Amino acid sequence: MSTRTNQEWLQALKSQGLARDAALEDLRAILAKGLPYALSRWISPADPQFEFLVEEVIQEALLRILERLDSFQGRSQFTTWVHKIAIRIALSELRRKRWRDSSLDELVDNEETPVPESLLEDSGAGPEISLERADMLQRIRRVITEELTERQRQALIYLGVQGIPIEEVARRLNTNRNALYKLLHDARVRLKHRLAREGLSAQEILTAFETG
Amino acid sequence: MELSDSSLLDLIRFLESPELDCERVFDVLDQYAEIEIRTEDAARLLPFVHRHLETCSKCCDEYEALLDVLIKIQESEGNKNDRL
Ligand SMILES: [Zn+2]
Repeated sequence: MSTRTNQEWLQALKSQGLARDAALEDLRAILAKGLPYALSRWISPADPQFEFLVEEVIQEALLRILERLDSFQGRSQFTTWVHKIAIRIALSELRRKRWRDSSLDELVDNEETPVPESLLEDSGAGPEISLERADMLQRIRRVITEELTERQRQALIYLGVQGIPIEEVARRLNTNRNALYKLLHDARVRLKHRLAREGLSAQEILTAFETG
Repeated sequence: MELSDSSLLDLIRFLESPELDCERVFDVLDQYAEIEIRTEDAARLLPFVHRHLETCSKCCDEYEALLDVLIKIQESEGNKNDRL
């Protein structure tokens, strides 16, 4: 397997044809070697699922790496970046599987499945509480209008309300991730301070709306 | 544009979620791990990452897994060189 500099990796992966195929093949081999070290913390290599999981994660990681080549900033070895992406995929896959298994167990153990909280929303909330909530929302709206720049507001809506990935938000706002983090951090601090001056905290607001 | 009530709450929830910090940490996690491996003082150079890793188990899992991989690969390459 050839060793490449970061620049050579990027060049090969962005090219067409043989150079790209060879680079992908090498990446696959690098992940096949490295990933089991990471996974053996959580799942035994003797587990019949192990090999399958490794293969599944490599597939997904290669796709994601190609999609995100432009976000590689060259602050580490390219292969370290590649492993980082594969590990994130692997861990969320493991968490998803574990969650699925444990929720199955719970279904068997508890015959009385609790009603999801969202279905209980508003039950038992008297008219005063509703008024209080409406007033709260009104104040939050005002705080947001008064404290945030249009750009900060837009970024928060993209990320927090519409759930658009940070990369895409940076592109839409014609900025980069680092500048976007800075902008979000400033927005967060401004809002927190102002809410505190109004005698409100984000935690308190969420509790008021989530526990009915 | 006026935000709906539920959008407003989503926005507040987003402000409270550690998600943003996790993304910010993930962005530099490869760099952080490499600094640590070179036995430089990663915690001093990137203190916000250090602080986050101490409190966020999700990111800490990712970090430790990445360290494992880097260390084991380094070891296996070291062995190979010893044999040459
Ligand atoms: Zn985190």
